[in-house]
Amino acid sequence: MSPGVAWAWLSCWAIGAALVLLGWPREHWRRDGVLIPGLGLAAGLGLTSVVYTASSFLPSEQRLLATALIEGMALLGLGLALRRKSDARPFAPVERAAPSPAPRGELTWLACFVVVQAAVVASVVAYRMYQADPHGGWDAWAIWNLQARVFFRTEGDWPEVMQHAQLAWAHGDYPRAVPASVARLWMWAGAEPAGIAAGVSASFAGATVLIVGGVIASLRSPLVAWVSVFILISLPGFVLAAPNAHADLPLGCFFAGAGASALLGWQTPAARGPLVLAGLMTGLAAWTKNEGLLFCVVFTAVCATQAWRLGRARSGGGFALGLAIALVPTVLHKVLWAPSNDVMTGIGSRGWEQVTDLSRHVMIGSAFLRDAVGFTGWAYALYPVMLLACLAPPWRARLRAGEGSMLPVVGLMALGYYTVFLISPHDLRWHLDSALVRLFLQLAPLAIIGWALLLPRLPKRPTAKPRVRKRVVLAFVALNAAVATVVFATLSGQLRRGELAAETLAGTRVVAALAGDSWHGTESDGRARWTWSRGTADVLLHAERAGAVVTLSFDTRSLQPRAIRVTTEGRELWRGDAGTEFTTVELPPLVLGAGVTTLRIETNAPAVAESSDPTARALAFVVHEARLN
Amino acid sequence: MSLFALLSRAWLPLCFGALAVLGLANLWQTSRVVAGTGPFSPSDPVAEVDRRLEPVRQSLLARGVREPVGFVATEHGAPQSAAWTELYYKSQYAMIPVVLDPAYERCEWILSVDAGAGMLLTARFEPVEPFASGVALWRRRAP
Repeated sequence: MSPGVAWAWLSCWAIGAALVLLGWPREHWRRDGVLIPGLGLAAGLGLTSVVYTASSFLPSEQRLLATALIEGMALLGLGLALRRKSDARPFAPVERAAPSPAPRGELTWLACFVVVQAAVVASVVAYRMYQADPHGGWDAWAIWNLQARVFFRTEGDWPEVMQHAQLAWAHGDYPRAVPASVARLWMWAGAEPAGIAAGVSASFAGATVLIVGGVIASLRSPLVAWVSVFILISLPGFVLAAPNAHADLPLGCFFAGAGASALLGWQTPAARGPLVLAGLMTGLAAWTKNEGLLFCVVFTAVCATQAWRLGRARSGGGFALGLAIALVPTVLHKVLWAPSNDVMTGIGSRGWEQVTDLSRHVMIGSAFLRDAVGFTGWAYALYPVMLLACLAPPWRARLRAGEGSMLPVVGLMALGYYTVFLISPHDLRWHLDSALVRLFLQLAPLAIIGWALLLPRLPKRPTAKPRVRKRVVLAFVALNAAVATVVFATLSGQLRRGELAAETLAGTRVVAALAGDSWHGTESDGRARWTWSRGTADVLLHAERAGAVVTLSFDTRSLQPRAIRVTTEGRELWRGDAGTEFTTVELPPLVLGAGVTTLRIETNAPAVAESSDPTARALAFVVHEARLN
Repeated sequence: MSLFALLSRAWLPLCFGALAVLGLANLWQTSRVVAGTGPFSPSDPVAEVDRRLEPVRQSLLARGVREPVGFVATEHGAPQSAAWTELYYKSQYAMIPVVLDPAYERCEWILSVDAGAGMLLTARFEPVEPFASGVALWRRRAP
């Protein structure tokens, strides 16, 4: 990481954190010490993206100076204001109901240990995802990173570029928080490394984890906070999205930030800062994706209702102020530069017909049920256990001011998404398949906050909590490090992309790997691995040293009967037929030299389409669960 | 302590324990599905197109070309097919802010991404600059 990029990251975090601290009751800085950095990172990325967008109209050689000046002045101003706040005596004591005391220290330590090990696995998986797709998934490079390149590569004329009809599919109407954040860091780097886009995405993921853990720790207990964080980071959908440079995770971060700030604001009536911050986060959600505009409507309605219920109408003014400020860039973008939105302009006269079409309701409803589980990526669903946890005794009232609002916000957002699908002009099946999973991912962090607040408050410890010795902390850290090392080593021993099998034989590592373009990507369900070929294809056997005797075997089948022949250097090793049922191919022992030995797997018939879909793959034969002995 | 009291105390910790086991199993399963990158791993196709077309983008910027540039690919399926569309989108990502136009007949400049485009273009366009891997820049012939 270059010094410029490091400075850019730290300065954006510092600006955001300073702003949050300024608005936060001083008495709660320590108690909310996990939440504040999370909110600060999210707010910093959002606000500096606005500054960059404003400076993007300047020629590139002036942009860095202008951005640095504005951000520098902001940092200075916020720092001075913060210093005054730190030195000033509090106006009036700002009270908030204390969270539940840690019920059992051992459980909390155990939860922390589990989260650390889960974080090791999650981090490795996220990094692998980045290595496989450095530019991110389809929408990441086709929309968000493409828009970041338009910002970075133009000389102030990016609106003209995005207005071209040929770029309609790049959605120039989408808000600019993510591409502007990426382009800003590219500006400081002086180049376009793909890792920066992944880093912005991962930063939002990290901020989300801090926000979810921090708000639950402040409102409930460290134990429940660790459990909430664990559910989030063990969600495969969340982990795989972390480096993926889409805008759904940043949007979910702003949803969670708005929710967290509002929850704490409702519980500290004397302090207005948290609700101003909630409004700011809500507005920044609209600056991130169009779904953020729906969130503005829903969350404003919920906050207004809450203010009325609590008899604190004036606190609504703080929320409105934050929202109004944060909506300015979105409104300017939509009015001045954005082309029209494809969904909104395509509704037309068919809208009402679609609303009353029962088949659309059935398709959308079943997709919602399917993807409410599917978006998680779980092999083993956690929903039943999460529900059981909510039903745990004691069954007395659990929710304080406003805590019951988060799940209704999630529900109303889901209803809004349902309505958009209902009136969408696009092919409904395509629209649901391409978008719904990501919409649920946006709502997941806020839903986890809402779930955690439904849990019962655990009984207080009968005796005072003893002070934890330094020796115990060090032993805990050492244990975590030792187990994490073993976990990491085990993960490193797993097969890599392109590898069919790997073994250490006669003291040398032997790898069987795919070669050339004749293979489709390797697939896995977590238990078995298989790869389909496009026709005759090669497999490489790589040995670090000469002398290893290896036997390669695998199971094969085909969509239609065909003959298969395996040769090396013109010598036939195996011949047989592959049908629709699995056939085991076991090659005779081979003595390998150091380096690569190529095996050719030939077939006598062309590949066959796997379905009638025009985009279906053409498949010849499969190599399933390859083994080296 | 009664059974109910015992159950009440153990309920939530047992739920948390179950969540931990299931969650870790989910993560481990995911680690087996999402494999790491090694010496035999295929390269990223988006990065491949980026590398191939970067010299073309620089050439067009140096020539001061601001209008949309036609896009021709003849070895990736029929125009508008899934494979062709994917290549077009990746090429556009590489070439931005140069805008690529699939309706190449109306363009002054043409980017062809494979060697087979010559037969299609030589009647009305002349080659201006060849690049590696069959990529070439063409310009409309003077009438």
